[in-house]
Amino acid sequence: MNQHIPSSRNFRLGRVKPQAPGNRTIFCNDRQANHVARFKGNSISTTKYNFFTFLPKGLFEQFRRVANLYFLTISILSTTPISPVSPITNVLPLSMVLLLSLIKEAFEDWKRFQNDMAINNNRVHVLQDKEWVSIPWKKLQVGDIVKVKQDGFIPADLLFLASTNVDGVCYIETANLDGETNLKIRKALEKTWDYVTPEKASEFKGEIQCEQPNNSLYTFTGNLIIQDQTIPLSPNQLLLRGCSLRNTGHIVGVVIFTGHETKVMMNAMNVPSKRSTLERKLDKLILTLFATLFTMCFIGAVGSSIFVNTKYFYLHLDSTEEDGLAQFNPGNRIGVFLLTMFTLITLYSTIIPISLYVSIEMIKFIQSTKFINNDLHMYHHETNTPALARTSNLNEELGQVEYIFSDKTGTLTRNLMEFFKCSIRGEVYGNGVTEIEKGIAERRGIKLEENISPNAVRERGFNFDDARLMGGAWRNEPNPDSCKEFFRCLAICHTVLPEGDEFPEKIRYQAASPDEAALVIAAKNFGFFFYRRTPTMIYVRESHAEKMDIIQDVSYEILNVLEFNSTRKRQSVVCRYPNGRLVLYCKGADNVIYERLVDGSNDIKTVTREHLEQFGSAGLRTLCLAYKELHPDVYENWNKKFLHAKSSLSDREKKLDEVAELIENDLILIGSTAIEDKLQDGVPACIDTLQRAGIKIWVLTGDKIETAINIAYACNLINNEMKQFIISSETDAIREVEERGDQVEIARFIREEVKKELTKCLEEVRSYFSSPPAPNLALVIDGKCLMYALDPSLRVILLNLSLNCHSVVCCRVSPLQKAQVTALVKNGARKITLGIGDGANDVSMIQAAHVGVGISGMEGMQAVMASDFAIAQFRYLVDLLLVHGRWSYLRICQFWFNFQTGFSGQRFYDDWFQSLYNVIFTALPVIMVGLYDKDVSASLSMKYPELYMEGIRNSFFKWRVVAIRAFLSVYQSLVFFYFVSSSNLSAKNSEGKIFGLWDVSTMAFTCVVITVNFRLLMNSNSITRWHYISVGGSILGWFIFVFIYSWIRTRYDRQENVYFVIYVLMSTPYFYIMLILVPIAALFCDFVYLGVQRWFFPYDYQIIQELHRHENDDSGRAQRLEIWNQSQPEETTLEISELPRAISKNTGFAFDSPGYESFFATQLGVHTSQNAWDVAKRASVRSQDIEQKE
Amino acid sequence: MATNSAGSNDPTVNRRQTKRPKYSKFTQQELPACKPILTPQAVISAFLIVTAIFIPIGVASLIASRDVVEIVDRYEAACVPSNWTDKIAYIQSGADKTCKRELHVEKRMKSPIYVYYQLDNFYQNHRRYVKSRNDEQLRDAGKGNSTSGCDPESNVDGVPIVPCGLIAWSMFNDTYSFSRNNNNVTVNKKGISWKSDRDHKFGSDVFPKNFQNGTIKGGASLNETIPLSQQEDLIVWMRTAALPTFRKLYGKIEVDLEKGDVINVVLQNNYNTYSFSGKKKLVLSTTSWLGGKNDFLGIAYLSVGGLSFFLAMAFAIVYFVKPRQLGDPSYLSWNRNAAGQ
Repeated sequence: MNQHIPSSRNFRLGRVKPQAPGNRTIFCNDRQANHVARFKGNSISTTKYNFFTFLPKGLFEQFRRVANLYFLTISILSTTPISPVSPITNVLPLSMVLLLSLIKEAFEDWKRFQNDMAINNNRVHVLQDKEWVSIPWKKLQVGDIVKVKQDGFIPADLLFLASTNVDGVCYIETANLDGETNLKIRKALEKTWDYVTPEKASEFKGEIQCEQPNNSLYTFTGNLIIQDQTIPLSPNQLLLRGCSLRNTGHIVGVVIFTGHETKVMMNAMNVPSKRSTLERKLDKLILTLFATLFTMCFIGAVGSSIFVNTKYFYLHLDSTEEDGLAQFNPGNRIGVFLLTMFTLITLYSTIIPISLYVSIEMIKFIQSTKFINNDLHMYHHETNTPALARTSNLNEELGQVEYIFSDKTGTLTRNLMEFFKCSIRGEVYGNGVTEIEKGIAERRGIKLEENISPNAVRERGFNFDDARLMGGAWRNEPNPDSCKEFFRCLAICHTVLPEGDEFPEKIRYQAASPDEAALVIAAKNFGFFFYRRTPTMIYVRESHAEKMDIIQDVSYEILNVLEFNSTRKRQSVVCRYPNGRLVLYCKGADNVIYERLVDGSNDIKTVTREHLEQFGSAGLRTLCLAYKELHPDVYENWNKKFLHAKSSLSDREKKLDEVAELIENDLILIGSTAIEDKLQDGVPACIDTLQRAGIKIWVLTGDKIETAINIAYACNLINNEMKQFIISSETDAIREVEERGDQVEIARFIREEVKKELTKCLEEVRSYFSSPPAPNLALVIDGKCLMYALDPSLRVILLNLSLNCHSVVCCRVSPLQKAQVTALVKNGARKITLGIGDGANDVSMIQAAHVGVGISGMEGMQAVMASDFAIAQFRYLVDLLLVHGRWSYLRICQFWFNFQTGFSGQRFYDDWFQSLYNVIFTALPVIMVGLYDKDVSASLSMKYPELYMEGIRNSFFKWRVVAIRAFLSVYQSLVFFYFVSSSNLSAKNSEGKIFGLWDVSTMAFTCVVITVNFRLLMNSNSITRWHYISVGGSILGWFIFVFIYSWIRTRYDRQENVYFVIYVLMSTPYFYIMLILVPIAALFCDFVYLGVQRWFFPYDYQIIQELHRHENDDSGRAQRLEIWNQSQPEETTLEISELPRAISKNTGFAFDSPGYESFFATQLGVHTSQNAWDVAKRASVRSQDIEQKE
Repeated sequence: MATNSAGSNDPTVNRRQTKRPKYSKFTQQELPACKPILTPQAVISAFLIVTAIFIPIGVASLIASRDVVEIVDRYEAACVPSNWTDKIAYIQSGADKTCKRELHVEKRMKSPIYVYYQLDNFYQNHRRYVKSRNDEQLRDAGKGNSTSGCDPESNVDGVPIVPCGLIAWSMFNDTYSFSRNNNNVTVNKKGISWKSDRDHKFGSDVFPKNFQNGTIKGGASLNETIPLSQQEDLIVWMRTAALPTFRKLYGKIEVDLEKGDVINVVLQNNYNTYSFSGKKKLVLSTTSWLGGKNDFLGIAYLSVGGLSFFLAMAFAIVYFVKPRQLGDPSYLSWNRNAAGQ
């Protein structure tokens, strides 16, 4: 699967595929002119086939499978006269397989088609005759002028002309493209700002010359020629298909690229078809079988060529006039050998069981469509999303996963920040219990008591419950003034935009980082409602501020904003109160703030520090809040320097930072906030379970190292008992080299550093392992270091190191690196990997891993799903063994028979018996077993996750096990043949009559059918009534079939070999005696094997079965469902403070989001000049503006 | 915060209805099931049950087989006169093929006594041989010309053969006649074939035609006035045997033979097994409810029964000597590993 990585490289890093030379010229708003160019339409199709290509293409796909091709060859061979079997034997099963596979393909393609249709039929407004006309997306053509409304999706790649915002900007969300939810600004050319109304837009005549369609998301070059002026276009004017418009009334744009030529569609790769490791092993098995087949045929053919001799006069081998003789001509033994070879190949062809494929396809299909998709345990109520198995090929792979590569945002966390706790002036507020605390408590066996206070306020971003602060109650707290400052700091010091009506319930905050939004929402709930922003003012509706129950609107003048960046790790706002008071509010990382605090009041600092550590260990993200009163003179003085720095042309950022340092000192600590980066439900518990199951979880995230570690703590992936190796590029030494700016030098230096670190860590690991007990190890590495560590020379060290670690966190990694890391483990360590993620940035990882899991809907419980699959998978394996355990005896049995027929290639069984054997008489029970067998119940497999390790070790499909099965099969074939053929010689009823060939074979076949079905039953772990029905049905089916088959006569000229045979058989007592003896004798060995195996070498699951043999597992599962539902409300208060706990060294600072620096964009060298403050300012200008209009 | 709708490109999802899967025991995989565990008790009792069933059946069938009296006489070597050194030349010559044999009855044989001939090294199951017949022709008088599959014995000089094919052509043609104390013992040759064959596979209005008229005679000739459904020797012969050593029913002797009787057999040693060194045997046998003499069945039953008794004992001993607690957690691999460290 290596070859998929290059394509993902193309995808993500924007390495542009070779373009068609030249450029495209688009005449705006002129369909006729564009008609000449024959641009493609906007309808998309992701289907594999269409109505006409389905049959040829689908068949072609099918015959690319070696097995199918093999059967096709055999079928063709069997139509020639050298075949001992009638073509029906091979053609019938093959056509059934093909039919089933084609139906499955058609079904899956139909679903894709429906999805496409839904997208193609979305409506969009297009300018036609000076008015907006709604047409479906698929009718859209290049050059059309379209209108997209707020929250609408962009239907094609558009050149952005105008928006209802005055300065021609619009805000788009690119979640569908890269998973980022922060807003991005696009700005139209000034020339085109006016074309908002249909009347005006219809006047727009221009010509666009731009690049040919390509897959680079972040680049675009072109020119707009309008009114004889050529204006260059940039990515800033490009709105990509799939983005959604936010915060903007509507926009007008010209369609540039449509349908499959849009950048996002050009990026869509064909989903690589993955094959499961088991399937590959099956291929090997089939190869082995083929070798066996060949050997058998060889022996048979040699035997045949030796046998033929004219002495057997009754065979008339000396006949000369006959053409069919070539095969038995004693004068030409080489010819005999070759022809017999072909004959035998067709005869034994069924040794490679085609029904194996039929059953596997069916079982997988039912497993995925019926079980996985319908599992109530994997249905998420809030987002209304059931689980979905998109492909049915990989079900069994789920049972063998050893490494999980997980994305963070949206997968482990909900990307939802909630204000959770705070500490004001040394007092902790907030009663919530985080997931991680619950996890700790659970592990210590402490029962958490739920204590939901009835008036707790819950909303998105605010999950705080403490009556002491709510509804103005804070006035009665020991430090009401501090509280007030705290709330004001929250309400003022931010870059958030309010949106919507100015009521607390209706307002929505647009923030670059969800943390910020959570803080502002918190202020709102505490009674400091920030409702409006202008470029210079912030309006806050304060309740209870001066007196209880007084609500007043206060406007604060924002004088300066000292922005957040990753080196400063803080943000400050200088504001002027209406009464002229000048205050600087500052929030930031604890260590940064503590450095800048005024001396004194050390006890508060110490207490707050303790609180910070407490919050940190609970997995919360903390920020410190501080403020400082400013004297007007001091401020004026400083402001001059600030303005000077701001207007400087070189090194502006650096100068601004320096100026900020001057005023951000002598701060007074107010307290700290704790925000919960909301984990998905039950993530820590799930990770714990998975780890017990022997699965190693790696977190690969684009986030910062602090955030990543924080989440790793929260998820329980890292804890303080672990030895952590942190390999980061954020060291002073590296930074120093980087400042010198010599790229070659930087690369060389970092590589050296990384190598040094890796080697050091590896040595440390070795020393740990040489002197046990070894601590658990964790590796944290950032993207830049990873880039060098993935270098071929260091790759081995990295692999060795990381495989020894219990958890690995990679932060700041690009999508490509995610894929590389996955591929490293997959190819380097040869382990089964699973990639899980939600965003487009995880796609390459998901595709690189053996099993990719995507999060559908916003939330998912996919990790739980994975462990749930364990059983399904296991069952499947057992079934597989049964399936191919059972082919062998029938076929090998034929081999023994052939020894006795002078190697002529006479068949033992009737054609129809043979062809229907797999398809009807034994397939149903096999499928039943494949569907229903479960070793232990779902709840037990949750309880004993260690059982999963059997899958990882591949216990059930080892060659040893296969060999035992094969041996048993050979034994059974011997029993069948020799027991049954012993009945050849003497009379078989009291009338002295003798059985013929077909009597013997029918009897043998009856025994085979019975044995196979009972063997299946014997190997099942749980037997439902469907087992009985199918086993009974199969045996009954056989008898019914043979009764009818022996009765009818057709006009068709066939050999009526088995005519009346079964009635003859059933008239003899001998038949019944045989029917008891043969199956039991054949199953004897199996039974002994099962007994001995269970007794002396029990599998883990067998022990578990025994442990819980008296329990009814179904009730357990139902309970689990109930518990699951109950545990949804998670407001638990408890004696959590009494929990003995280690104080975390990690205080969990985090205050970032991808929004501040678009990581991928910078990596590409595309500078997106969007800092939060700009966004805020622009937006506020807009809203002001709208107000004025109104 | 806008919802992260990555992955669903479909903006029209709002009007979707609940996708909650419907509960059914099938989809939730909660069908009631019994979960048999192969406990030692179960293993032992299963073995004992097998023992209890198999030993009596084995004994019964062995007794039945022992009750059967069988006289086997190999004659193909002795029936070539000593002056013929080339046996093949002899059998192909026109010399007199009559041969006399004496059979001694060791034990009383109750009627009916079945007369078989047994051939050895005769591959009636060879592919070329088995398919060399035409069932339609045998059944239907109107289909006399259908000889497909019968090559090289489908026609002589363009006239189709009925019955065609190698099987019919190579029909066995030794004959036997028996006498005791100079009294003729009649052999009843009616009802020696399976009734279904007579009734359904061989037509009562199909008569042999152009049979054995070729250059080489393969075996017996047929009386062209008797319909195929009454040519029982042919019917028996055409039910091909599964293995190269086989017996075919020749006739029935419907008198009891006493111990010490000497049976004189006059046989016509016509059939050529000499070219492929096949043996020919004449077999006289009585039957039991289970058929002819077949010790194998009884022995097989007894040995399976005995083996399972032995295994039951072995398991029981292991069970008492080295018991394994059912569901002993220390057998779990992760516990074993922990203990191992």
